Amino acid sequence: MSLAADNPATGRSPGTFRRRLRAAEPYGYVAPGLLVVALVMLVPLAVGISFSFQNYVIFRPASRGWSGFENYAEIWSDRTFWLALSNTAKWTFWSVAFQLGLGLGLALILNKPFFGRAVFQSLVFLPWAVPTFLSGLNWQWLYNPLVSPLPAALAAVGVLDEPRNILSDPDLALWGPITAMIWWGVPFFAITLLAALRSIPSDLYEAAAIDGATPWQAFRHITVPFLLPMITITILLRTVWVANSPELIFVMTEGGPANSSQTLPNYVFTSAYSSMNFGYASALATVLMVMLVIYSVLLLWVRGRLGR
Amino acid sequence: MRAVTGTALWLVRLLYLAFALFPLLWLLRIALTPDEILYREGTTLWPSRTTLANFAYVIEESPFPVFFANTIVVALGTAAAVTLLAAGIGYAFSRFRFRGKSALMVFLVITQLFPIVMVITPLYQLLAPIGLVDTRIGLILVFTAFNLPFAAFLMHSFYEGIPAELEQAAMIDGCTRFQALVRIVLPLMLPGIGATVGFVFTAAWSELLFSLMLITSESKKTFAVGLLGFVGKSGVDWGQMMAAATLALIPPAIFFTLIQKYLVGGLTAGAVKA
Amino acid sequence: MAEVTLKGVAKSYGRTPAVREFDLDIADEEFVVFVGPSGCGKSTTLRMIAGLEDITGGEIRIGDRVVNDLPPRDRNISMVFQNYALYPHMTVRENQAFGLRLAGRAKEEIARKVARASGILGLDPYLERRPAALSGGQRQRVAMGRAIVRDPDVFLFDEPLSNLDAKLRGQMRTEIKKLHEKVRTTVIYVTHDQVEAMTLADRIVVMRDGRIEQVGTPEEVYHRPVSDFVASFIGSPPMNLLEGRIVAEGDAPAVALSGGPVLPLGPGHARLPAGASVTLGLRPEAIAPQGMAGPMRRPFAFEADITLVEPLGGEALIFLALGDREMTARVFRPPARLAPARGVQFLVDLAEASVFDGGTGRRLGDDGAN
Repeated sequence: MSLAADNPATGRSPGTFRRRLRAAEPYGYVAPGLLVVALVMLVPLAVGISFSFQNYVIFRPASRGWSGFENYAEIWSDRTFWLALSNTAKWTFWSVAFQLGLGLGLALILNKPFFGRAVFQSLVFLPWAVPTFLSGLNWQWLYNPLVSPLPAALAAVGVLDEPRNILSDPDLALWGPITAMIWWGVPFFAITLLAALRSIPSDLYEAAAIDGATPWQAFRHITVPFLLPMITITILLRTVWVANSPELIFVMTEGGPANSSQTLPNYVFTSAYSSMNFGYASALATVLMVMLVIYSVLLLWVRGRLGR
Repeated sequence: MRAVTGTALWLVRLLYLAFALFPLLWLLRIALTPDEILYREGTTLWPSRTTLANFAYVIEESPFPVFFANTIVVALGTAAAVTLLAAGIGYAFSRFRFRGKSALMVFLVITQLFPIVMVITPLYQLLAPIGLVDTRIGLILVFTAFNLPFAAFLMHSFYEGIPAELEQAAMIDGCTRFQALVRIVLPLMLPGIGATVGFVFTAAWSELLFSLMLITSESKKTFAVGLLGFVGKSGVDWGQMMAAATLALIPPAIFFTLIQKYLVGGLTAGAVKA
Repeated sequence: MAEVTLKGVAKSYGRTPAVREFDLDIADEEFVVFVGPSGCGKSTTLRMIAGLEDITGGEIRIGDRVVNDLPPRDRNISMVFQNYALYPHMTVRENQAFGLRLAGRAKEEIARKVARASGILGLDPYLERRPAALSGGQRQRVAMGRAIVRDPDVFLFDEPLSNLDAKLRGQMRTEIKKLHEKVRTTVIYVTHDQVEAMTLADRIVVMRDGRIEQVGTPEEVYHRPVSDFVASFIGSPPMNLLEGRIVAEGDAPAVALSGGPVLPLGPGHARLPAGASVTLGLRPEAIAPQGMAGPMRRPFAFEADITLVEPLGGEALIFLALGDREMTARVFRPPARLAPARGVQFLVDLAEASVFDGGTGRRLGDDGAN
C-alpha cells in the first residue's frame, strides 16, 4: 500500500490492482472444472427434484403438470418400493460386510512379505479393473448351470438342492448380484486398508512385543485402533456407493424374478428407462438421496463421537 | 507349528487367488470352446478342443470393433478432459489459500454421495434440446463431470507430494508461476498424471447407465451398451459373447496394472488426509 | 549488488499478525542474519523480500527499486532453501543453468558461469548427476551454485544448514563464510541457530513475535543484549539470569539476589531506585572458581556448591548452586581434579554483568560507565 504509488485519479495504486489480480488467480484454476460439475450435476439435480413434484410420463405429454406430493404419496403405498427398500438394505449390508471382512484379510496377507507377493497382489486386485457391468455379466454366466460348474459345486456342498440357477429363484436371486459385488469390491477395501496398515509405525509392534504382547493382543490393541478411522470412512464411502449402484442388479436380474431382487436405484432406473415415468422415478430418487444423506450425517456424527 | 501355519497361509492365499481369477479364467475358457461341444462340455474344467473362432467372429464380423472404437474415443476424451480440469483444481487446492476453498472441497466430497440415477432423467431432458443426446461429446461431458471430483482429490494428493519450494526456486530463477508449473511441477507429476488418466479411462470404459440412456444409434454405442444388447437377443451365442467380454477387459486391465502402484500411493495420501 | 531497505514492512494472515512494522537498512555486501525462535517471523520476512509472500503493509526496496509488487523473478535475487529445492529431474549442471537459460543467456556465457560456480564449490565431479545421487552436503553446494551463477543483487538463505548433521553443518558454515568473502554480495540469512548467527553475521537481527528485538554486531548482541530475551537466546550455554532487588542506590548501588549475596553494581546503575525488581545477567565465562579465573575488571567473591561438572575437553561447564538457584560457569583449560564439591570459592566479574528490568525485561543503566 505504498502511498507514493497511489494514482489520485482512481484512488487505487497499480500495486493494489496487481495484488487483486493475484488473489483472483486460484479461482481461475478451479472455475472451469467447477462449471462442468455444476452444470452436469447440480442443475440436473435441481431439475430432478422439480420433476418429482410433477406428473411426467414421456408417453403422455398431454397430462404433464404439477402434482404436488402425489408421486410421494404413491411411493408410500407402493409395495414394490418397500420391498426394494428392504432389499437395498440387505444388498448393501451383506455386500459391504463381506467386502470389509475379505478385504481386511487380504490387506493383512499383503502386508507381510512372501514369495511372489507383487505378482499375487496385481492378480488379486484384477477384479477391480473389470467394468462393473462386465462383472455382472460374468457372474450371471457363472450361475448358469449350462455353461458353468458353479451351480453343480454349490449343490455338491449342500447350498443348493440341485444344480440350478439361483438367479431365477426368488428366495436367492439377490445373492447373485451380492456375490458379484463382493468379488468386484474386495480389492478396493484391501487397497485402502493396506495403505492404512503401512502407515502404522513398526516400532509400535516392537514395543508391544517387548512388553510381552501376543500377536493377537498386538492386533487388537495396535492394528485395530489405527485402522478404525480408515475403516469407518471407507465403509461410509462404500455403503453410499453400493446402495446407489444399480448396474449389477440391472445386468444380472433386472430386479426379478417378480421384483424379488429389486433395489431402489434399480427401481429408479427401470422406472425412468423402461416405463419412462420421469416424475415417479425422480420422486423415488429423491427419497433415496435423502435417506443416504441422513445415513452419512449419522455415520459421521457417530464417528466424531467415537473419535473423541 | 510354524510349518503348519505357513501351509495354512499359503492355502488362504491360493483361495483368494482362485476367488479373484476363476470368473475371469472361466470367461476365457468358454470363449475358447467351440460351439458344437459347448453344451456337452459346458461344465468341465477344460474343453477337449479349443478354438479362436469366437474371437475371429467378434473382431471380423460383429459390430464390436465399432463399439470398441467408440468406447476408446469416449474414454480417452474423458480422461484427457478430466485430467486437465483436475490438474487446475488440484493445483489451486494445493498451492493457494483462498476464500471458499474448504467449502469447495466439502462440496466435491458431497457430489460423491449423489445417486447417479437421480440425474439421469433430467440430464436427458437438458441435453436433448442442445443436441448432445446420442453423441459421443455428450457422453464425454457427462463422464467428465462425474469423474472430476475424485480425480481432483487424486491430483491434489500428487501435488502435495511435490515441495512448494521447487516452484518457488523456479520463480526466483526467473519463471512465471505458470512456467514453474509447466517446466518443474508437471514433469515431476507425470506418474501421478498417468495414474489419473488411467483411473478415469477405466471408469469411463466401464460406464453403463448414462450410455444406455443417452446413446440410441447403433453406430455410437459403447462396448457396455453393445454387449448388453447382445445378451438381450434371443439365441445367445455364449462363445462369441464371452470372447467380446474378454476383449472388453483388456484395455482396463492393462491400464490398471500399469497404474496400480501410483493409485495405491495416491489413495493413501488422499485417504490419510480425509 | 545492492542495499536492501525495509520500511514499516508488515504481514498478517487474516487478523493474525506475523510480522509487524519491520524497519531495517541492509548495506551493500553486508551479511545480515535473522535469528529467533520458530514462529518469530524471520522466514516470513525473508520470503517477503524474495517476493514469495505478499506484504500487507510497508515498503521493500532492493537497490533503488521498490519491489513491493514485483514477482520474484523480477527482483534479481537468489535463494537457498532449507530442503535445497533442487529440480529432481535435472542434472547438477542443468540445475545451475536453469535460471540463465530462462533469461536467454548465450550458451558460452552459461557454460562459463556454471564452470566458475562449480569450481568455487567443488562440484565439477558431479555435474552430470541428478540430485538424488548426491549426499546432503553436495546438494547444499548445488543449491548455492544455483544461487551464485545468476550474479544476483541479494542472496537469501532460509535455514540452509538445518538438514545437515552437526559435523557437516560446521563445514558448510565455514564454506558459506568463505563464499561471501569471494563473491561479496549482500546476504540475508535466516537461522534459528545462534552459533550460525554469531559466526556468520556482520550484523545480527534478533526477532521475537514478529518484531525486531535487537539489531547489532555479534559483539553488541552478545555483550550488550537489549533484553533478557536476547540474553537468553544468544550464547551457549545461555546467560545466567538471576532475579534480585536493588537494595542500595546512589554512589554505591547494589543488588540483592533472592536468597543469595548482595552484589555491588557499577556507577552506570547509580540511578536505579532502591526496591526495584531486576534480573541480573551473567555470562558463564564471567564466573570461575578462584584460581581458575582469568583477569577480571571488577571481581566479586562468593561461596557456592559445585553440583555437576561437564568436561568438554578444552573447556568445562560447571553447574553451581547458590542458595536455591542454579548457575552455569564456563572455564577454559580446566584441571583434571574438577569435581562436585561443597563450599567452593568463586569469582564473578561484575563489569560483565547486565541488568534487566524485572518486569519488562529491558536492559537498564548505561553500561558504558561500568
